[in-house]
Amino acid sequence: MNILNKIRLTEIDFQDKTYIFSYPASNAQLERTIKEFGFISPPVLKKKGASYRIVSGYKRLLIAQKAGIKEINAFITDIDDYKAFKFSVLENTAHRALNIFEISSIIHKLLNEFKILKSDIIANYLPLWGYQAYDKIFKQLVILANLSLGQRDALFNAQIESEKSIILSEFPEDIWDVAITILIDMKPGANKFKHLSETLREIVQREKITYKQLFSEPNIKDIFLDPVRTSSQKFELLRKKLNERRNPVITIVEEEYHKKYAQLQLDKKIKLIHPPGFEGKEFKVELNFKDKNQLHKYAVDLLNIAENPILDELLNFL
Amino acid sequence: MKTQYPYNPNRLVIEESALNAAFTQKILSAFPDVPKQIVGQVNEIKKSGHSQYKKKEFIITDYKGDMIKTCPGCVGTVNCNYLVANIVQGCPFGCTYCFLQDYMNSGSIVICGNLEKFFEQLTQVQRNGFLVRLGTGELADSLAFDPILGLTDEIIPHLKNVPNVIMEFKTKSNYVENLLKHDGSEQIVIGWSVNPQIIINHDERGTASLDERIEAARKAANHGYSVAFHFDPIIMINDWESHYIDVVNKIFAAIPAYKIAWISMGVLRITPSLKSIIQERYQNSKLLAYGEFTMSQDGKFRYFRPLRVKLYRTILNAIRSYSTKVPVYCCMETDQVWQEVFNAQPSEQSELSLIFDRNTVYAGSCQES
Ligand code: SF4
Repeated sequence: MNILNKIRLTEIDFQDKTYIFSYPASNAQLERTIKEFGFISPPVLKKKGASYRIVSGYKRLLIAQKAGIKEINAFITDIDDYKAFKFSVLENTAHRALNIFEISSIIHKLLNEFKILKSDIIANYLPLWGYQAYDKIFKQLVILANLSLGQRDALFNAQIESEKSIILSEFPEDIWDVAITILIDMKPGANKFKHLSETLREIVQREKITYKQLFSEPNIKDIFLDPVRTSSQKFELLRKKLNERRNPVITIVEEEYHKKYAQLQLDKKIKLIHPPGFEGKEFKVELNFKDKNQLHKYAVDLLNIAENPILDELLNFL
Repeated sequence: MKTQYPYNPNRLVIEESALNAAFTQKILSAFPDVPKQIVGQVNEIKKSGHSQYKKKEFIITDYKGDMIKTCPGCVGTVNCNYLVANIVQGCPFGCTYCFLQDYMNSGSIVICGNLEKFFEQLTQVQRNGFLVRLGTGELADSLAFDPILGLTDEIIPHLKNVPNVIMEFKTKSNYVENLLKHDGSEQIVIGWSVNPQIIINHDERGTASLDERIEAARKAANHGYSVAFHFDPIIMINDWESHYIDVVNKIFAAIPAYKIAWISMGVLRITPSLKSIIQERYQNSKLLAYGEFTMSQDGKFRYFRPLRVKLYRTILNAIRSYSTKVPVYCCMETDQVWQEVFNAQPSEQSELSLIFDRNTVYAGSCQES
């Protein structure tokens, strides 16, 4: 393979994607580099009948084609199909950070086209890209291979981080467009997005409805269409509505508690904190102060609270 | 039985020092054709995840530590001094919520071959004038392997020597054939975890149906054993009231109240790590979708307290409509909940009208099976 051959671009089968997983196919930076310096690292090709399959260098060859270059130098290999693919994977992984869409596409090919065992992929490939060798991660990446090109483009162009994109695997595919809209328009953090996926799943399971039905309900749909709220306000509202629906009793108790709490008219620097889930026997007091005078004032406030009958009502929540 | 029984081992691993123990030999002779491997020490066996495959591997050990322990209890819940004997660890069944998925390093079934040590310790747990409750179902289903291991055949004859020990075998199976070979005794309680059939169908794979469990309980009770029922874990499925009341109705239609030693109630409780396991392994299970969870002081998710109280009261009232005498208690619950359910502090409740009317060391069970 270490002899360079002159190959005409017309001899290369650009439609054959056996070893190709690059996404996106275009790369402006690479294009500029090639225009300025030419092909520094030649592509690798494999003979296929009268033409050649691309093993590595797909993006570079596309750029060459676009630039009207007629002939390039390339290495020719005759290793078997799986080895050629593995070579392409390892070569690319060594030179750049693969994105999640490329990784999911590689896993899909390994599994379905090269018939590599799941256990081998988990043990030998996931660590290549910095993932732990977990079954769960494997499953998530396999599912992401089903993203349409349009969905990938949307996520890629919006620069949605991999850790958020991977959570899409927890949504059913027929709702991916909505989930992607949430990711792009409402910009939730990964943890909040994951929590949202759990809440949604639990609601549809318990209420025996589909995600689509849930999202077409006016009070949910309207959040997406709201022209006034900011993206984070929209997400918080969506979260709130879904949490209320998921946990109606907790919501009622918390609302009652907060109403009572407000009646205490506490200075914001003093906080009475109930135990999580109202389970436990003690409240906590949190107090922020700057100087002796403030401390004195808050101490008096606390004494007054202790006499306030509303406090008894709050204590009764435990 | 062995041919129809679905949980025969396909590999036996034996710790060398357990090889000559009588119980080990009994197991080995029951499976002459199963491949065997003898290892110096059990920890030489590579630890691996909980899996169906591993459930067919039996590891017979020479257990060095205490075979009878006080149930560790949980932070913030009513402490109990129930004793547990972990002779078998691991279970062939596949309950979605089973904490063993998170607790055990290996999915294999671990069996203590040196049963003599257990019998020795059994004589030491008796306390003057007190009855002691001892359970075997903390890290296993007590009867799931009884058709092939015959553990009850080993234990029951020894119990005559320790009259102050009340031994509970807790199960979701209907494997009572071995028990029926022995004389029934009130000293032996066979406890069935029960749930509506719809939950059994979805989340208690491999276990006996509700009707089979109750029929097995009826046989055991008729044979002279005490029986117990554990509403555990209670799951807040849609229309849970009628489902759970139906279970109570079925129990009391089949078993006279005076034969029931006790009934416990405990809601679903899940650690965060178990929650992740359930989400990953059982994506179609609705277990986590029912009820409303909050984090308890012991680090487990439980239903919001008012919901728990409502669940317990509903089941308690259904039980009380049949019997005011059957001892009922809450499992792994806070004293706030006890107070709201029973109008009594746990100490008063557990002082115990339970079992007990006798001087039992304690009431309350920490078993999970
Ligand atoms: S919960 Fe009990 S019966 Fe179910 S799998 Fe676990 S140990 Fe076995």
